[in-house]
Amino acid sequence: MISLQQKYQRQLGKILAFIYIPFVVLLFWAINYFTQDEIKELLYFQSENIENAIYNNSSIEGIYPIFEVKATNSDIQKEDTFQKVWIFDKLEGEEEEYYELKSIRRINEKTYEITTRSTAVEQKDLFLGIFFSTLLLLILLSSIFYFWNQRLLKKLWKPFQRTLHSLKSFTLTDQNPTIIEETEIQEFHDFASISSSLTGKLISDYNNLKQFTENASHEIQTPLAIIQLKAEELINTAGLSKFQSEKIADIYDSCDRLSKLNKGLLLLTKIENHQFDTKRRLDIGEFVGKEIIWIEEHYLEGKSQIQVIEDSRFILSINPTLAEILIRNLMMNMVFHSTTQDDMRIYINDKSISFSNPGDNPLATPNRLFDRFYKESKSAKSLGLGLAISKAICDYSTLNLTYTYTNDCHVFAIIIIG
Amino acid sequence: MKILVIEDDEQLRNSITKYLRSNKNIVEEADSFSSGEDKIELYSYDLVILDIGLPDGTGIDLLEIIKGQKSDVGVLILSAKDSLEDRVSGLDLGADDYMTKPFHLSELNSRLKSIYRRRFSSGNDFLEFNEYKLDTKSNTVFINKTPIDLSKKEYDLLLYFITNARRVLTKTAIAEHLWGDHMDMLDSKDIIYTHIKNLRKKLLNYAAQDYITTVYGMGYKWTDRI
Repeated sequence: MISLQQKYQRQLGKILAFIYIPFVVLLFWAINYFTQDEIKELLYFQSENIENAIYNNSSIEGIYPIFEVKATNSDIQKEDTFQKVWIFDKLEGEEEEYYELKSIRRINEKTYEITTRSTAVEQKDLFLGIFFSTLLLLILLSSIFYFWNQRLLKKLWKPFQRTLHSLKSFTLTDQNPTIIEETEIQEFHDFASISSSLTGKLISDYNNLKQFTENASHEIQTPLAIIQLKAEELINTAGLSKFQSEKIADIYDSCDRLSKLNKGLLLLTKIENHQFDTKRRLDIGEFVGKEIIWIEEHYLEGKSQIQVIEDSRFILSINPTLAEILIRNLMMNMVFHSTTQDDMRIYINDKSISFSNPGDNPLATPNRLFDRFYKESKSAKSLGLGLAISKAICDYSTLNLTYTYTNDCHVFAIIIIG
Repeated sequence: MKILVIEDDEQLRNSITKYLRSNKNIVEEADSFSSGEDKIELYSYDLVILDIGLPDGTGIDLLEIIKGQKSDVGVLILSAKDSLEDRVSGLDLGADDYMTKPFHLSELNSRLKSIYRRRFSSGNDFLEFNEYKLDTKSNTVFINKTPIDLSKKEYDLLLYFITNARRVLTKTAIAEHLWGDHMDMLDSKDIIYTHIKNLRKKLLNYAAQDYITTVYGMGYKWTDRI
């Protein structure tokens, strides 16, 4: 990609070059023509002077090579000839180029051939002088034009660049729409004001959405709390039949499920709304160590069954709350889907961390694994949000989350992108 | 205990007050910021259960008023929002605990008692149930004066049972009490079963009677009444 300015400058350069070549040729030809014409005129003038001199004194013979006068029998009607000739210069000891005018004149009843010459060196100098100074001026002029143009363009595009920059650095969390740049150019003004209104709308939509999810969650939690408390009261009523107990337990469990679902979806929305923007540098190995203690205490009856292989330190800049959810989710996933209680391994190197647990078969549809509410097995043990949340956290934190099945093990890995 | 419940939702407030009264507490209720404020200024309480979202003000502001009185009252915040800011500002202002809706009554009871013990524990760190005696300061358990060696989780479980004695504790409530609620786990029943089995085994080495009964489909109950 090149910038509009570069593109314009390049195009301009091409056009200038295209115009210059015929122009220079034309210039060359024109200057050459006019200087030669000047010499021709000079020679005619000399020739006329010589004619006059012969008229008064017929014995003039000439000064070689400036002029020569010869008596001749040639036809008087013959046209004057103007040409370039090479003449040996005794002083310089080499051939020199001259312009030569030959004319036949009849003076005092006699026919003379008058030859006048002028050295071509002079004309050449004159020609080159004019040609190069013109060319120099021309180059100077066009470079001034070119650079002035460049500066002008830069200046003209400045309001656009500023709007673009503020759009680039726009984030929803700042809550500031892009500023409308002061400019007298209609297009840039339109662009800036449209950007500003768009970003303003984005912010208000975002706030509305945020408010909606918060309100929805709030409004759902209170009735949920009521259902749950009423069910709990019922549970503690004496003399319930088995049928009644079962129904109450179902209500209670569904209520719990709904509450967790609500929290999970709210968390996903919060992640996608970029509401976890404070980041810290975390040593993932250290973090995993703490989580292992937690998980072993809670789910593995205090036994150490997870093996951690840390090749090097893995430092990650991530939101600590999200990091905890992410690591815990993947660890729980590992513990709960392991077919045996052994061989659960966590590998850490400087770019990635992977969680590996033995499994009988590779997953049937690994590409749907990170979808919301997707469950590989029909068991009601999970909501089907854990991996979707993990994926959302990784996307948010610019990390890759991958699944592979290797050596009879399910492996989930978090990898730094790039 | 003398407890003030400030909660705008009538249904919720009724359930909480009814439950607390059944546990032999003196309970007063307030349904708004202003009535809550009036009661706080007029009477003194051991504990206040405070809802954050009230129709005419926020619980956080009310908390500031309560704490401004320099009384010894313990405060438990109830919130529908599981937001970190509310939690942090509530606890910073001197609230003793923070619970998000929905919650389990047994959990509420357990936390209130824990706050009460912490605030008014003048020589009364012991919790007793027949032959059981729990020292809540040193986290030790005695059965017929013999100290029992329990893991931290087992102790927590026993304390939760005895605090909520003679009431049904649902498996979810137990799981959430012991392990917090994890986002994607619905069924912790197997794990709870194992933990309860282990606790039972340990206790039966010393105690004559097994107080833990299974309530079909719902959970467990610690009771000496058959």
